[in-house]
Amino acid sequence: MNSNNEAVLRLENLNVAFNGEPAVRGVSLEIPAGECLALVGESGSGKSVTARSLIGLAGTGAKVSADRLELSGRNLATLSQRAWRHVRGRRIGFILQDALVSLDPLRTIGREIDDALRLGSEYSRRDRARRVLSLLEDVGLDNPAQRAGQRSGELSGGMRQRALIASAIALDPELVIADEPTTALDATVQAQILDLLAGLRERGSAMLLISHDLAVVESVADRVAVMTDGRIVESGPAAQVLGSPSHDYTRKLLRAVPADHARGTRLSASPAPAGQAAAHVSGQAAAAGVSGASEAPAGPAAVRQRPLPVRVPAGRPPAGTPVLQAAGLTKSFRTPDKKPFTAVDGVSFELSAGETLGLVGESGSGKTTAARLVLGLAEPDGGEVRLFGRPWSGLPERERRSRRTLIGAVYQDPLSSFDPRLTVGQLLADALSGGRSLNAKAHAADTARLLDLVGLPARFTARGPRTLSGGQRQRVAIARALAPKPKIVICDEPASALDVSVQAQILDLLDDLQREFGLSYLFISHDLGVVRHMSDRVAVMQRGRIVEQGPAEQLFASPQHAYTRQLLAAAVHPPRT
Amino acid sequence: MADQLKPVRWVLAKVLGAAFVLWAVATLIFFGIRMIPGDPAEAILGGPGSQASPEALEQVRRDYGLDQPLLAQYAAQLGRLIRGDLGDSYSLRMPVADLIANQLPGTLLLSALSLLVAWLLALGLAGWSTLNGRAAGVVASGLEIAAAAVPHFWLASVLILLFSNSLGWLPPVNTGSADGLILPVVTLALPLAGFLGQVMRESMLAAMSSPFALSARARGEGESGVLFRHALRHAALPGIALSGWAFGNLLSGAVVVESIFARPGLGRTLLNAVTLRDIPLVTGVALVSALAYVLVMAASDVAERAADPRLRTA
Repeated sequence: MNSNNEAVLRLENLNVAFNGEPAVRGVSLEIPAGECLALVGESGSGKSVTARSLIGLAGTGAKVSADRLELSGRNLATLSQRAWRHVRGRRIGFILQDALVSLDPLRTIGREIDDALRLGSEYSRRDRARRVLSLLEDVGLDNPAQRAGQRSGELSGGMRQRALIASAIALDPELVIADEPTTALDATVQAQILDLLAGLRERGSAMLLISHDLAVVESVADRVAVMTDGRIVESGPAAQVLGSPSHDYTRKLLRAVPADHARGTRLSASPAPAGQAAAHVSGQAAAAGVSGASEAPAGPAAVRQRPLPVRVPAGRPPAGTPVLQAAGLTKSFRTPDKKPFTAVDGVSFELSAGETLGLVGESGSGKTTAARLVLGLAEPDGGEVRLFGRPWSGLPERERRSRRTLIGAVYQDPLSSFDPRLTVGQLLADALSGGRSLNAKAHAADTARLLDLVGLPARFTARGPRTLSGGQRQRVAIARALAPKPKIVICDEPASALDVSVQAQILDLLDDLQREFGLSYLFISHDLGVVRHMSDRVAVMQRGRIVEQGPAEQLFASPQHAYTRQLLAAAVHPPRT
Repeated sequence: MADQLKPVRWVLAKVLGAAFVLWAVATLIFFGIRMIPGDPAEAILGGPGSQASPEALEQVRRDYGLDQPLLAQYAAQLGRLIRGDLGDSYSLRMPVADLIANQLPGTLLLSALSLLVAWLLALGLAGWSTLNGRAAGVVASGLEIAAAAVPHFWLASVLILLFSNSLGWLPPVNTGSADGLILPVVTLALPLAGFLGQVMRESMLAAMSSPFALSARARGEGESGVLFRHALRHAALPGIALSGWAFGNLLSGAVVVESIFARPGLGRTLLNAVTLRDIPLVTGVALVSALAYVLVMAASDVAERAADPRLRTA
């Protein structure tokens, strides 16, 4: 990179290692004033460690070295801890992801912001109080005087993120580092926060944006650097990197974004030749040394190889028969202050054999409550659920138990739905035996078959869920859901916690399994792109009601309801490949 | 859950709960103490050694209603308790209420001081170990486990041997002066500090490595600033929650400690009363202890809500 006198941040050859294990290898960055550089990559790629090294907080046990680390021409590489404290907050503002845990839950946001001012400026107490209010107003919080007295637990996700941003920009730092600032937010709120960040850049700050979400990056960044395995593999102007990527990894990331991919097309790797069937299903599993999938040419692997653009109506119930009907479902709760709250309000839908119904809406719209009613984990206050034409809701559990195997579920966070003391084999044996056995050996054949189905090698039976990666865990969760041979699977944000390329593999896997077994999916997500890619029909939920439902393509092409249009408009536009 | 009730209903629920606890304690004591072999009438007259005449025993039984059926005695006892009449001590021939009024302040002072010292030790150790890295954490953890495992009677003996007999710095028994309080307070506080320290240090460490602590550091806060401004309150929360239990623990510890250090107090009174089968006095002390425990639990509930806003909204 050319030496540029206006560069606010200049970093050359940054190396960070933890216990001898390199996390960042030779990273160089340069950001001029008023520009935003996005550092893109999947979790574990070293993005966050790079960002934290820039404020001298790489973490305990980190060995950090850099040929050059300069902020507006001033060398930071040799600063003492005391001197670093004068840089943090004052000259570099740092915005962490997930403001719920990044703000102290016991202190008011006013005090959190005041801290930044107290530590980095000479303002009097009264001036600081005034400045806190004007900052809260700057970041777009209504009623700042009231908000300043509230704690993070009393605020919505968007408000918390705004408060956190206010604390980071309180002293007008010349460099703002934002680490996944919108990851935990709904689409509409995400768009607002991105606007806010773009505004900061226009005020003349340099910005380093860390994200795994390419759509977010494209809407804000001037330049993009793509990171994998601790290295920057490609960097350049945003339009160039995202428009005509030159590195394989960048292309893989871009392809994995589901939004613009039609239903039935693949997101992960391109269709592989027969010998590499397993690799095509799972890059991760392949890396872990999958074998066996290709040994069963007539089995699932054979089906998986086919780059199917056409839907195969496989499975026992003929396609088109309703397998699940929800009519007028209503469910209310009491909030802590005793006000009744209607989570699900007159929701009706039908799911046919072999079909995917997408349920989309922001957090709190009642999606998950609807799923719990369908699963028979909660009883509706009004309305009815019918399973294969027979009553399901409102029955005593005794009469439902024998039919519970018909309907399975896959959740967002499989780790918390696994008993951490059990091995993968025991988890699957538990599911195969309907909770009567934890003996992995007795079910070895079935367990191996299930793991093969989801693209994991049979030797994973001995592993504990904690030792698996996020994608592998979700595969195990899917295997567990399929163990009792269900006809319907409720997928509640099954890929939301995953990196985009792993997400792509999981979505492809779900697609393959659906074709193979003629499964019906109720697919719940807040991510419009994912829902669009997965669903035959889509229902949009807002405040407990379904405001619109219809065939996926039609709904996305010409949304009828104002809320659907608002959701679509707010969805950050993904880069096109 | 009490969490969701309005203040008036909360107080009402607490009062009803306390009444139930007191009734249960009174009942258990009444029937429990009658399972100890021996004749209560004999105890009233000074125990088996007093060689009381059969006529005197008969007289006492009639005076104290001991010739009535057991349930009638129980009903009469409850009736007296409801009227607030704790009766007279068999052994000391004084109203139980007066005895307790004399002994309670000493025990309360001992318990409160011990709780305070335990808190200071626990927080101090947690703070020191948090700021001084992993090795300090191992040291702190070892100290906590050792302290929590030590029984009061052993600790008291060691402290007396060391500070009174060998060094001669402190009196081995109560002298009425303030320095007589030091050894009993330390005896009670050290094991408790071990327990409190374990939970406090754990939540302090969790707070120090939480994202909000990273946010604070990114704002320019130093390590001690993060500790005092953020982590300390998080560390205090489980301590507050445990303090109600800790107070009960201290009251029962006082039985041993007051006896060893020959301090007047509720614990020692209770021990004597049980040995002498002084039913009214045992009942009175047990009821007052239970009441104190209920009050302290309610107070720690209130303190917990005051310290943790999440309990108020959730």
